[in-house]
Amino acid sequence: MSNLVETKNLVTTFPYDGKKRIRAVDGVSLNLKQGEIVGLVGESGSGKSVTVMSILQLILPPGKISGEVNIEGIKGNILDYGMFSDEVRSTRGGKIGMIFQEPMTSLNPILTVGYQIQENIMTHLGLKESEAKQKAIEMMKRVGIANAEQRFEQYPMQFSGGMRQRIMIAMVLAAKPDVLIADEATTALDVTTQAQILELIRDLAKKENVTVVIVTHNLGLIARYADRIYVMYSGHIVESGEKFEMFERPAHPYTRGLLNAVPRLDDDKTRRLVPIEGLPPNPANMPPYCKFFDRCLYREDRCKERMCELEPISENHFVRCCLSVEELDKKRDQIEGQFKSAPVKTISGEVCLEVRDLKMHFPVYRGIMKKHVGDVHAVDGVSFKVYTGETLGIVGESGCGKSTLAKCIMRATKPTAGEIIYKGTDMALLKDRALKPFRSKITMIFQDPFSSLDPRQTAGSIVGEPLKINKITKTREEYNDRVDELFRLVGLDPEYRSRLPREFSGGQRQRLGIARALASSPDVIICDEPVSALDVSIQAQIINLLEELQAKLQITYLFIAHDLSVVKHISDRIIVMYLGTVVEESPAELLYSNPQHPYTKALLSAVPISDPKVDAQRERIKLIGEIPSVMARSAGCPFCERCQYASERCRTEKPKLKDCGNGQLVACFLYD
Amino acid sequence: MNMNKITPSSDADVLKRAKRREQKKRDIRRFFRVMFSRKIVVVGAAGTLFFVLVAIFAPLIATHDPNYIQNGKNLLDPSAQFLFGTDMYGRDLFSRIVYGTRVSLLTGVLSTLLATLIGTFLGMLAAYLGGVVDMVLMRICEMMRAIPQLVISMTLIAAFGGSMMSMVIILCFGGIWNSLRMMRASALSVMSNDYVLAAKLSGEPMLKILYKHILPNSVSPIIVSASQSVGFTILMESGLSFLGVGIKVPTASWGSIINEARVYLITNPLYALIPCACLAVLIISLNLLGDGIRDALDPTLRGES
Amino acid sequence: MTRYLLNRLGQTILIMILVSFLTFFLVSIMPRDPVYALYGSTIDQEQYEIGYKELNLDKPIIQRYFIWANKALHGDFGISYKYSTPVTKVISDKIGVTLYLSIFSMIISMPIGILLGIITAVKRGKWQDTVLTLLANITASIPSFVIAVVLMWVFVIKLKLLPTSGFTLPWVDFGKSMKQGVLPLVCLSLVGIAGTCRQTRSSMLEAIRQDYVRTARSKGLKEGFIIYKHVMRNGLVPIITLIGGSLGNLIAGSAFIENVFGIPGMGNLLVNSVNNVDIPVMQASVMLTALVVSVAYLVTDFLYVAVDPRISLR
Repeated sequence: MSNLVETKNLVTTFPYDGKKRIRAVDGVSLNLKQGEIVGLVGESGSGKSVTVMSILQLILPPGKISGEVNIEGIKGNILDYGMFSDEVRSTRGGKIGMIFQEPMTSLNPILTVGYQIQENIMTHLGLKESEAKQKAIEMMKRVGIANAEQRFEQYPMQFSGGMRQRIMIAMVLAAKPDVLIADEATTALDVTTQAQILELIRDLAKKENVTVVIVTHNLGLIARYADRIYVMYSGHIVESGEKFEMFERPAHPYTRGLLNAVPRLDDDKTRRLVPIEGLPPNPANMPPYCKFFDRCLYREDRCKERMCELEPISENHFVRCCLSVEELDKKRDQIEGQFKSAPVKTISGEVCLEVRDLKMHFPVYRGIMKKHVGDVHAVDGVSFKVYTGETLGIVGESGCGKSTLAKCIMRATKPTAGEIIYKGTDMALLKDRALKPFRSKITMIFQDPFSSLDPRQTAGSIVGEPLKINKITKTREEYNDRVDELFRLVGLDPEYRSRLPREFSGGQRQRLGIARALASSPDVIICDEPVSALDVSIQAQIINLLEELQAKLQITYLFIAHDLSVVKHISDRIIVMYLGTVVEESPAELLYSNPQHPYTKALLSAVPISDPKVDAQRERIKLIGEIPSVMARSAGCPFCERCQYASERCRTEKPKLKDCGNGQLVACFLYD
Repeated sequence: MNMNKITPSSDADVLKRAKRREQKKRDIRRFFRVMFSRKIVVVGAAGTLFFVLVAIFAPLIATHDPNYIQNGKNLLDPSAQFLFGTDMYGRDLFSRIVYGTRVSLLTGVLSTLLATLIGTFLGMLAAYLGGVVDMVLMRICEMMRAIPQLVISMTLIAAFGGSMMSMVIILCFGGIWNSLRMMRASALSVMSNDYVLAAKLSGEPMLKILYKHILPNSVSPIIVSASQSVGFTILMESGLSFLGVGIKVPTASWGSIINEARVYLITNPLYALIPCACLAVLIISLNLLGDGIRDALDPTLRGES
Repeated sequence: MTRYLLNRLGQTILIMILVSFLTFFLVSIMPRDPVYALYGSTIDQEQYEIGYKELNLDKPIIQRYFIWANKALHGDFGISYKYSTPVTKVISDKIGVTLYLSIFSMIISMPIGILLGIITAVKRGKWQDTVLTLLANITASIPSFVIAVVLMWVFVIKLKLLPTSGFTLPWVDFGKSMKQGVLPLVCLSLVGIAGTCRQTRSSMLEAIRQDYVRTARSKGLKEGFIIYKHVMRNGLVPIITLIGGSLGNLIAGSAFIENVFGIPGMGNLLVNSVNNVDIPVMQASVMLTALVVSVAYLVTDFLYVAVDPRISLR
């Protein structure tokens, strides 16, 4: 089979600090064959997006592309044609279509979605407007958009994120391209929507024999959907090969490291993640030898002697490493033997925090007179207990109310009703002044390591802020000692106290956030998506840190996240939320091995495991539809409209949480 | 993580402070480098500096008392004695223009400063208190948007007279609303950051949050907008004086000099054209400088992508 | 959508009420006795008392406001101190002139400004952009009366091409009107063109940066078509909002132009009323300006709704 697309030594550079240029893509050679699904995986800054954009010459000046890109049907190197030449334009959209990450901004807001699909058809297939419209409607139907004729005339803002990505798919496939590139196309979507979209792409592509490139940072997605994989690091391809081969026998130390760093749904309780220490090299200051050297567990002195090339180790398996596979494998046992297991923590039977029937309703007003037209039930009767020293995971998709729940417990907002009992006191409705003593006992770690640290305060004063406010330290000396201690506790050098947040990396900033949360020696820390903004290798560092701190300081965590693998890895018990209510509560192990609620089952099945063999054997439950709007709630079970087992009773009556043994609670009439 | 080095604290403190100072110096140098990265900004800065120096050293530069009437020597052409000639009453034009620089810069800078201070305060109040206060202030802003600043200023002058002091206050009154809106928007966006929530959740009182977190993080847009409105305020002042409703005679203001002089445009064109040129150059310089400050403080606002 | 428009209409009315408050109370603190102002300073005590009552000055200020507002609603702003004729009559002569100048110059400056703005944005970084942007920045910085004086010196005095001053409406004497109108319109328009050009440029550059432009490029559309279909429409929508504000600026700015070229418009009237402390005229002028500007803002918003689906769908 010949190559549809082939790049040779592709280099893309951007100017940096005047005359210097940094290489975002540094000599990438890859090829795409007809009908295959190729995964291009790497962390942020690895150059994976720039690579695919360079193939289409979507890199605008001052960025520069050099090297060779050969596309079937076009003579010579396509980079020799100008970026606006007819050849390049007919390739874009016509031969290679692309779906981008941000579904909210990738479509033009003031043109109808129909027009935007039609435009692509007219450009590349040369159809007349009416024919193009027919074709566009047909495509919309094929990507699963109901009422396509009416929706043709609608604007992007009338579609949900998942639906917009479907529109993008319809738009791209309408022009009958040979290759479809999905550049982090599902990253911004919920897990169940993500599974729907990727399955749609895969099914359509297989049917039409279209090549798909999935560009992502998510190893699980690659494991589930790709046939062949390229792993990128700092602008280089470090390893490539068939999926099963790569996951079974990863060769490059970086690939091995990644697989050891990601949490998996089927993780053993004792597994400790192995982060890749350090940071990728600064693109402005690249070493002339292996770029992974500084972080490599397998490195040897000779690695520094030269820049190694991508070389085959078996048929279709290429690795860029100075060490041979035999050497690497020999070292592996020694290195992996040193991996520790998870720290042992003690959970007492004492209830630390209890939430009873908590409700948070936001009124909705309309019109000049601000008429009250209804309520959004963001949190609708949530109850649970947390025991001292344990981690309670709260998981759910967007709109499930998990963040609102966190804000209520933190008392950033006042809940509409219910009780939040901390050590015997109900603090649900306390006034600000009365809350003050609790502020130091329940603290929070935030999602975004950038917006959660004041850019104008030094790291030291950010971490020390709670000490001052709560007058925890008496003297200047005591304060300084405590801040230093906190820095060391989270693995930062106290030397860095006088630095500003912008001088830290994302992971280090998150450490600062953790240090701030620890400052007032709290009993409970609410972690609101603390690792979702971080790269896999950094994520593992933070998860490990949280686990160590818990074992050392006996802190109770409420760990809120949308990533089920992460929640499953760190939690002892897990609550699954859907549209403001708890549908299932279960010990972490049982949630994976024996889920009860239909929603939990669907959610679990949507999360891929980064091992294609294991993943292929799992039961797959497809979820129909999308999460309904917050305003439209049924009187019965919130999940009834999407549930395949829904009965008449589910539509009229709301199921309550019931104990079904083994510490599992489920809100479903199936278990009555 | 083997970063847990322990260093003796007293030495480290000194070192740290030195490092901070070094960092600050680097920041300032960087600020100026970005600011002057476009050559045209240098021109603006030079022009501004020139007029500022003229204003400061006006008594040294002026060759005559700007208000002294030389009988019978009115409307003279430029000469060695009267560099720019004399005006309709026989006063030295050069000296009047030199002193006029003071009026323009003083009213422009002072009223912008005042308006920015008040606007910032009210804007923070609106963002922080919300509710009724916010609504009332926003309605006032909308009202002020409906009346052109020139019109409202003229009306106020009719009520309060045209002394230098009342001029500053009147121009300030017109400028408050813009900076109020600015500050409110900026404060609201800063407040949406998690670090404000974090401070709130650690029990920090709101006033302290305003002072410690919100104000410092809104300073850049405020300085940018203030630096850009100095030119506009000077334009306003000279415009009012030009219309004869500004600063009262005999104080020399460029606007009123142009106003007097345009009758003599046929016979003494320089009489009007020189103050015209001064005014244009000053305002252009100020705006160019403002652009430079914007580039340095807020790269996202820069015209380039 | 209707709800949104009604909301905006309500807001506009509220603003006008606020403006009326402001003008009434502001003017009532002015250092001038309305009785003497209206009837002359030579009247005796008895006549003064009668006048005092007639102007309702014996009633509380709030009540006076309502009497004034009620009359104003019916188009009665009292009698001008200076001209001793009803304010409505004084103003109706002048407002047409100012509106003619402002709207005419807006019709000139908007398309030219937008066109230049698009050129600078599309050619960003090239010499066309550098030159035009610099020119626009300089023009926007120079006071319009400075431009007026300089242009007058060049075209009227040095080149003797145009008449010094005066104003004629086009339907009275077209040729004369054009000759007299050229310079004032050029002066007013230059400022408008510069402002519109700058705004259009930044708005277009903002639109060019958006992700959907990258999507359009990835579809292989022609660059010119992308600019036309995807960038321009999105970039120009915000420009519509400028119409309201720039009409206000033009009305205010025409005060200078009227002054320089001796045009009997609202601007001149306002200046005279300030110099003569002609309170009723001042009140009426402020109210009227605010009304025109508010209506312009309102029309702008209606236009905006028509162009941008995002608002009507809200």
